Amino acid sequence: MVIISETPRSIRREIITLLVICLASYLIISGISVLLYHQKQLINDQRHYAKLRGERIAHIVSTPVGDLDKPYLDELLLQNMNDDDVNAIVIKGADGRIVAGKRKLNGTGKMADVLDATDIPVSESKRFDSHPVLSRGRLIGHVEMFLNDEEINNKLKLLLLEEFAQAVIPLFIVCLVLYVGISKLLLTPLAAVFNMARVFGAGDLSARVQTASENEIGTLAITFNRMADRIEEKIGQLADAEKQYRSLFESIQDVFYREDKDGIVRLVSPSIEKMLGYCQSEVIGRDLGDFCALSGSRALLFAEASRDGLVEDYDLLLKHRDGRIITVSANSHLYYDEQGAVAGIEGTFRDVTDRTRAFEEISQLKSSFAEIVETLPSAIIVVNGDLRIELMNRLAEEFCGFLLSQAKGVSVLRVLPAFENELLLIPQVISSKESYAREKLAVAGGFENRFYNFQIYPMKSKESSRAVIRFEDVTDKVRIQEALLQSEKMLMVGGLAAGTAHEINNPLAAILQNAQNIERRISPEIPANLEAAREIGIDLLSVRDYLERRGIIGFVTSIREGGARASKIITNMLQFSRKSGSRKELSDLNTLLDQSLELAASDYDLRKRYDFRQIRIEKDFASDLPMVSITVPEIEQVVLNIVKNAAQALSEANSADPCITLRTSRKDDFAVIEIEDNGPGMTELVRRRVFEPFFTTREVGSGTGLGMSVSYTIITTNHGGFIDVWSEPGEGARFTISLPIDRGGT
Amino acid sequence: MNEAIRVLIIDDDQLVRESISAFLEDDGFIVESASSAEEALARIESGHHDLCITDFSLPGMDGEELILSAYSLSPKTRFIMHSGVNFTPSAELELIGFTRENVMSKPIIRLELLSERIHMLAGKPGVSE
Repeated sequence: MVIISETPRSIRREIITLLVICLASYLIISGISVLLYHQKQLINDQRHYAKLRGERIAHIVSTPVGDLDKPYLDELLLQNMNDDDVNAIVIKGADGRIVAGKRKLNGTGKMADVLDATDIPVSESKRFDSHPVLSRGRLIGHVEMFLNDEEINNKLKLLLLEEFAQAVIPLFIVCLVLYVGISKLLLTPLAAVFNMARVFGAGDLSARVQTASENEIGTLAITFNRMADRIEEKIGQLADAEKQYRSLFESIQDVFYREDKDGIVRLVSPSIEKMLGYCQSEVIGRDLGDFCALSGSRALLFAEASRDGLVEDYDLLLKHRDGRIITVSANSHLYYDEQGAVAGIEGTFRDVTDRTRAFEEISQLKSSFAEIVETLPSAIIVVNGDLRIELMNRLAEEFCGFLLSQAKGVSVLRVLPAFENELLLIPQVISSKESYAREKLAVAGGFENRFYNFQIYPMKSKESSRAVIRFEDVTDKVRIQEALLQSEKMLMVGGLAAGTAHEINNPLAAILQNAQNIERRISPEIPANLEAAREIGIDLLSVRDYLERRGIIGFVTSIREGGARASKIITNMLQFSRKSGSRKELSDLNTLLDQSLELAASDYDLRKRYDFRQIRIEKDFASDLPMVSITVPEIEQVVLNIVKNAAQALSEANSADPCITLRTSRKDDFAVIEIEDNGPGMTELVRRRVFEPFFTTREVGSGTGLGMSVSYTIITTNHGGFIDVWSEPGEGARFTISLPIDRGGT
Repeated sequence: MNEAIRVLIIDDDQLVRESISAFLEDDGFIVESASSAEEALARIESGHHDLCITDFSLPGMDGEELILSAYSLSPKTRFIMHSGVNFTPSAELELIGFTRENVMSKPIIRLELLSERIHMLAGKPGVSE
């Protein structure tokens, strides 16, 4: 604010000037009026006196005119010439002749006679008075008087002086009084007020006007004081506020900044140093963009703010002096100049690096948690105390056939009916805080039972009662365990068999073979029998008759058959001990098939369960089939497996005309075996899985489900061939085995 | 009638030897038996056996060694391995013409098959059944 430096002295000067002008004007006006008034008065008096004198002279002259001698006239004239204002007096006769005359000489005071008209000082005698001289009624001449103004002028001067002298002093006194009064009443208090204002304006807020007067100036002073009080108070408040704001500004954790519209930082709080490692002065005056990690992000921030007038929680990446990237959350708004135009942008930056990092860590944790849950090989379902689903992973979704989005909030009993009995235990698990576990829980499904390890864990969090259901499909594991168990069993059996086969086979051989010997040696067809009978004198036929009648021949046959059966058991057991990798030999597939059929026919298992003899066997063998290099027992095993499966299917289906057809043929470099049945066939699902290990359509425990997969391995891996299956439901099944023909073979 | 086929049965089990001998004798074979490989070799040295039926598991020398030794002594003699375990002919045996046809599993359910096999393997020209 500009303080106008005008001293009160000038007001004083103005007042004095004014008073002087007033005084002068008064004097001039009163002088002129006095002059005019007295001039007229004086002139009138002069006239009047001159007339009286002229008349007196004329009167005096009229009597003795003619008689009058000149010295008397001169005397008379001189007497009347004493007055200063008379310049000349001339007495003229009726004829105009100058009788006598006197005049004053200029500047000397001496008198001189007027002898003729030329002596009359015309120029000076402006005032001229002429009086007739009458004698007895007769005009005898004129008295002419020539007067001057000097006396009048002098008198006027005197009068003026007198007048001035009378007016100046009182006037001066009046002026003085006036000045003093004004000065005391107005100027001094004003000066005090002015002074106070000046001092106040200069910053001394304690300055006040000392005044006792109660007039307007006093009121003004009081008003000023009050104003000053108010200002002081306000300024005090402002100062306090400013102090507070400053301390806030200085100690603020966030960074307050202001940049102009060119991006130049104009203001920044000291906290910038903590945030970016640059001190205030290093930042102010520079482009904010210099501190942004990404070029153009300042412009984006500005554009964003320009659109809405402000930005909130705008993430900005700044560069720390040491190269770190600082994530800040900007809350900024535009600010405007006095004309209302955008001047720039200001606001705060908050360092959210830690927060961002924490957030990232949390989200990373969350996602890795989700990932862990998703990638667990178990199905996971989280339910609340009301058994309503809160979470389930992908495996659980797959098992239930619902997506989490569909199942959320739904009772787990509806989604997972297979485990209903177990799920009903959840409330108990939650209340007791003890987990529940079941292993190898069988669940019926499709063709086979599936096995699950099933657990319920109570969740330990205090605020809510929840439980985690976890289950995993251990069917394969169970099957492998079963198979391992089976194969262990078989290995044991095989080892036993191998160890004891010889010992068992010998007595068996004795039993079996001697039974045959008995049969033969009671036969009349053998000459030696007849001869022996004759030697001891008995009839062999009678003996035989007896033996038959008593059923002995039947017993012997039973012994033989029982022995054969025992032998078969031993043979079967020995299969498990048979060393694989038996050498390949060139074999005729037709023979092999015949042998396999023989084996099938005598297969105890097959005979016991299915009536293999009821099945019609058709053979369609190629006569020109070349020999193939195979491991005979392995291929036999494969054929037997397929034939057994076919027999089983036919038996189960109770087909009217059960038939198994075996064909051999040559196709290019392959010898092909086809085994076809006219049974119920397979569904697409079964057909596709038929070679899978552990896949079985039989009841649990009745098969290992390994037969076809072993067959597959034998054909493809061991023999480099192919095995395929064709089947349609109701149309039977056809297995095709292709074995490569050894080109060196015949 | 042609000369009978001479068969030597080697088995350490007397019951086995006897049951086969009895059957083959009834079928007209000339049958001898031995309880060990060593005994058998001593007999084979005389060189008039057409065929040997031998067990694989024998005390001392086993059946396969016996066959190989016997073959070198008497190349004309044919052999049948009569074994309780699944027997696959070794390469050495194959070299002397021994195949799966020369193997019969013990016990022999139908001894007639043994007779047929003997005839087939040891069938001399003119020998027929």
